Amino acid sequence: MTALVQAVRVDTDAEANVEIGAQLRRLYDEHYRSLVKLAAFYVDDVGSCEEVVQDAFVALLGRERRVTPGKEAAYLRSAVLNGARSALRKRRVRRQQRDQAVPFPASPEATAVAATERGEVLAVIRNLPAKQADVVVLRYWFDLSEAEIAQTLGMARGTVKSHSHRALKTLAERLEDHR
Amino acid sequence: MNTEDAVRDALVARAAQVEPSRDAYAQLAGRLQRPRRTSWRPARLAWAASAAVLGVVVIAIATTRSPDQGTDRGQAVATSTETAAVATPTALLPDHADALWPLSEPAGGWPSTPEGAIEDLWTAAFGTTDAQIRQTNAGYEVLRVDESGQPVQSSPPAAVAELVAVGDGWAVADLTNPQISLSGGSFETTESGFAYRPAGRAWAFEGHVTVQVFDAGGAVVAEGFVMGGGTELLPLSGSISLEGIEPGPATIVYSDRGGLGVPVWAAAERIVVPMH
Repeated sequence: MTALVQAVRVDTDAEANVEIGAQLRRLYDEHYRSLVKLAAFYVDDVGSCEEVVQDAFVALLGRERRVTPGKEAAYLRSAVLNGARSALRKRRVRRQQRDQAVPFPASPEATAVAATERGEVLAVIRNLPAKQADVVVLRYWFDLSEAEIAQTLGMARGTVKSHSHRALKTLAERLEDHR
Repeated sequence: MNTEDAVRDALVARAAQVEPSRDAYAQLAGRLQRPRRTSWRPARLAWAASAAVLGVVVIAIATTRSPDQGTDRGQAVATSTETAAVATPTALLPDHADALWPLSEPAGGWPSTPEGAIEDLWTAAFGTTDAQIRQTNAGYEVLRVDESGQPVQSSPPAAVAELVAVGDGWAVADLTNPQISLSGGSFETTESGFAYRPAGRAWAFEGHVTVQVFDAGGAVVAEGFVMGGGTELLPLSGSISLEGIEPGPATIVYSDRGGLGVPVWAAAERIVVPMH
């Protein structure tokens, strides 16, 4: 009887592992790259970005209670935002020092002036209230709809709209000050 | 270039600088194959085991006292915080080991359906009988309601409930959500009295997490609030006074009422109030 129970348990575990493996492959292909880029708006180095994203995957796939099918992407985005913001908080002092010294590394095709302007925009986004910054990043980089942002951030659509409006107003004012 | 274009341009440029490592998938698969972290269940079992062992010690001390030493509550409280925290005689344990709500069999019997058990809890905590519940792979989801009490279908559920069969009915065994994460708390005796200090993290409207303590009969015996984060998940701070509350099993419901006073997020845990 004991052997049978153990065998059944092993089979169950094996099936669960196969299921998790298939889910991992699908979620990885669909979301991993974009989530690492999402984390990069808050965290500086790619290694830390990947760590944050992998933590989110492990939390999603390693948990006993599964996220409702269809909501995995929203869960991952939310977990990455939380993880990245947590990492950002730990490094804020270092980041501020670096932002002052080197605003933004120029990409090969960009001019130094353009890179600096982009760096200023990013710095202003990072200094927005947390929810506003999240809404801006999800809207203008992830191209999520208001409904998708609301689901990711756990807020009403109207709140998303008001955060977006306030964020753009603040961005316009602060960027104007920089010019 | 207007503000929106400038924002999009900056974000796209930043994203273009970042690419995941080539072995990212292997790293991730490797991490998932490692043993999982200890879940809350073993942690609670460990807590309960400690409580039981030290409870026996407390009872042994109490039974060896001479009659003239008295047994009133004032003297019983004259113990350290640690001792008070673990005095959990078996008689104080809930009717059912896994039941969170109800803690004991109601006069009319255990709720006959899972939804009924959740509705009982929701009604007791939030005074609303129109909680909309749906069964999913994750458990039973309790949908949020708006200020008029109508379920908000497009929002994440306020909580996910796990159910357990008890007797010929059902009880809520766990109530969780990602914004209020509980990891067990501790009892303490301070200058202001006996209290429970919850542990965990929360992200709630202005950081404010409403706390209600229910006794085994489902009556509110204490209320208050603790603080989490207002813009991110932060550790809970603060405690709830249990001064004057009878020892025994109790359910604590934590909720974020948002700006409208309706349950946006809710979670619950079961405690056993020790003699204090």
